[in-house]
Amino acid sequence: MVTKVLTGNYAVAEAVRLSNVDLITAYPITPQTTIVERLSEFVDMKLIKARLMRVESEFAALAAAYGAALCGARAFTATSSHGLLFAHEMLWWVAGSRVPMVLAVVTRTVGPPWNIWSEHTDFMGQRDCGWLMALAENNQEILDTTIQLYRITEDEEVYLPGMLGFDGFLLSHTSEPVDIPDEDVIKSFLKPRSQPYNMCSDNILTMGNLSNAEDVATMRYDIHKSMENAKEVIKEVDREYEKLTGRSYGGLTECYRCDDSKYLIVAMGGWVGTMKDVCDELRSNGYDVGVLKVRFFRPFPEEDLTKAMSSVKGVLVFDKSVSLGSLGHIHSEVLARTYGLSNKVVVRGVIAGLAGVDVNPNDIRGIILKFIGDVEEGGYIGNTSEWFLGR
Amino acid sequence: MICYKWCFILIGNNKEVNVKLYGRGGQGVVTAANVLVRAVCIAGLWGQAYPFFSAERRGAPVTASVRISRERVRSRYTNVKPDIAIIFDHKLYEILNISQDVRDGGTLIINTQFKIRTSDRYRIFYINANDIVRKLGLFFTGWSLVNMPMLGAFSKVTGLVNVDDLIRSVREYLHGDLLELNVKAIKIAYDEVSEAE
Amino acid sequence: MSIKIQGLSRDNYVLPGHTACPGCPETLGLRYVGMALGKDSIIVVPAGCSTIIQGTLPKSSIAMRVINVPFASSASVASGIANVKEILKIGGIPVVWAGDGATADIGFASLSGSAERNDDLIYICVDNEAYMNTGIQRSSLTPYGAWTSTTVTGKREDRKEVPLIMLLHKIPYTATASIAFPLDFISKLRKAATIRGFKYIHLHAPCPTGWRFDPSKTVEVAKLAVEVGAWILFEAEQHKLRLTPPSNIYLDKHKRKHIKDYISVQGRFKDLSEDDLRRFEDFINNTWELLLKFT
Repeated sequence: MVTKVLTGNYAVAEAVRLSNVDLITAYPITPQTTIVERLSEFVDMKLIKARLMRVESEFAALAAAYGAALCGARAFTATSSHGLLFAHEMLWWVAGSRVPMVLAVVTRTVGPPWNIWSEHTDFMGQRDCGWLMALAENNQEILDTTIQLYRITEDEEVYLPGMLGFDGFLLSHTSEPVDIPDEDVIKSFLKPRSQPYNMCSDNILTMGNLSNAEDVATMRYDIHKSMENAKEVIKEVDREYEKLTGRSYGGLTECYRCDDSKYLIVAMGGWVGTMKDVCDELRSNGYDVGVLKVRFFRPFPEEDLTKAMSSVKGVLVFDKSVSLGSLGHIHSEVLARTYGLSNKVVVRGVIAGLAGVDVNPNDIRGIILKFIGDVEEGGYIGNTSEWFLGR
Repeated sequence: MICYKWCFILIGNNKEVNVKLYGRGGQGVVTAANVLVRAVCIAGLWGQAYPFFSAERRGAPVTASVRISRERVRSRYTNVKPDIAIIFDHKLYEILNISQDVRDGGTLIINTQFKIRTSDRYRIFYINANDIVRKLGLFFTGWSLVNMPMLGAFSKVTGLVNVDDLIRSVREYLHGDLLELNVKAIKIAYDEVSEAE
Repeated sequence: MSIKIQGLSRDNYVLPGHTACPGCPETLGLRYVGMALGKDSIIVVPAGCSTIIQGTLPKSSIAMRVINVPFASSASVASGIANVKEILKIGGIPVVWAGDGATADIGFASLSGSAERNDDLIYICVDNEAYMNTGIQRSSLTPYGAWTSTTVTGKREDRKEVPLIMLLHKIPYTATASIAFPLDFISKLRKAATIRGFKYIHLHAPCPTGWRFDPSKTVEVAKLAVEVGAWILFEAEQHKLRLTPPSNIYLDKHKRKHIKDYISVQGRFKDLSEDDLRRFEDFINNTWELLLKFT
């Protein structure tokens, strides 16, 4: 193992280098670009055996990776924002074909107006496609989760593609120390490529021709079942990875000081670190606050969340994305899981950090304390929703 | 090594020291931030560098910030008042309104040949890095590479990272003639940086 | 490459029970692809008539490996396969089988990208001159004057020259073909299979449903297109264009049949005026002139 100072993007590139990938497809978009730049360097310097295709669009990037993956290749591509939206149609096709592959999504605001900073709307907009979706908190987790995703997606209980999201700039261009596991360790952790069928074998197969309604419905249900199966696989893979590297992320969620908390903060991504620091500070001032980090958004960690909510008074959800005309994405998922809890839980959703609006510890502390104050004063005040616009 | 307050501060109550580098696109601001993080890691501390990008245009103001801490840094936000400002081009002091940015009682390290008007709220250090790189011929596509000597000055002024650790870090980022010239520039800047009277 | 009908495979690659319209030119074309490349082909099919022709899952009427893909993605998917062929030791040739809409319109960026990278695959555009699968809407390859369900008074724009556009990508092999001349098509496919890099074959495929003619006359209409000079058969290796036999003689304008012979059998041109007809003729002549500049 060596420790290097890496940006989030370079951490992904290192993970791809370690994961014995066969094909990388590359198309630039800020803030993703330095991933494929670094990977093309690896390929040109012959540090990895993968082929690299410099394609003409993100749509082509995903389509080409898909073609190769259908024929047995371990494939990788990366994009952001408009690129992800442009590739949206292919996302469905890849998942529906049950082809394992890994996509890095460096989250970025969708225009107009043009904006390159991070929010999670681009990522969250893909939540119905049938991809496993993880969002990382720091550069170490980016590297580790990318590697883990190859293992998870190629598990026969799962056989679905996976995307790893992480915040543009806040992680993608932020440098910090990252432990890079030895090649041998990852080689033993990742088994040889496995997939449900291979379109380039000698078998004469047809993929994706017309189908009747019941067959398609059944296939959708199968994807849903595999998502459910993935929950256990994700946890197992996390445990096994911990044995090899000493690092665990708790599987689908990370419960940070939330076991005995009265107030639970729920959030995903890079700002969770800031929330943990605020949590420590509030704890030392006598507030019973905990943080539940949602690591995987798909499959959604229903069981973890229900358990964490079962003994709290209030749940405060921070969303860096919003379904315009409705609620923040995590907020609505959380609300759906409050039904049937034996305790009455007050829920508040806060939409913050959109378009890269900076959210600092003072902002977070203020929002938490106001929530606690409102609940302590008003008792069961039901569900509320707020926007934090940074001004 | 002169040691001002910053090399002691991490031992005290402050959890982290915030450093901000102000320069222009093409001057190697982001590389300098990364080199600094690597250097503090070699010294056994934790560092986190986060650049602020807008349009990626040569000559446009670019800043990058570095958090230095004894412990792993978890927080991620950008609106931080830096304790120490490393200013690659003295004109940026006014253009970027740096006096509104830096924390009171902070330290400014400025690349300049003039004694510029600043504020008495800060300790000010001057280094003529342009002159150092000109003498050494440290140019890349017409831009003078002042980033490494500015770190040399930072090392001397703050004591947060010693110059040997800094040079070890630089060796991981640069190679060949460019490396050797930069090592020279760092040492010269380390010797020449001086506090404003 | 001379090919005799006796030497061709008797295996069926398009099986009975397919769900194409009567007189469909695409089933003919797919059969020729099978005869030319056999089981070597890995066929990539974007949305289009050939999606339907395969029939319903879990069965398929195409006895070749077939990957159905989204409309605009076929060249890219085939490129992905081509790029891992060597490292994964894949036996077979990626062959895109795409309609004129998937080729010239929605998938054009994807096609151009693959060609520019010179990815090792065969791209066949099976051109029936409109979006037939969705019910006969105009494409950029629908000819001037033709009725479609989105040009009910006749299309007002000329078709673009996709084979020439592909030639100017400087790919190693570009050719045109017609379902009326299977041996020509098969020999071009076989030649393409021996060349490394991006190969483009544009296959003219008159559609009785969309062009409004008797389904027993598909081959006849396709033949007429060549005989009046409206469809020109050529191949270009290393950017050097050369007419191929069925079209050779029509270099001489006087040997061509009258344009009316071709137009009058198609219901889609029934409202064509005399002026339109002259314009049509001019278009043909201009196309020949343009093409010959590349010989």
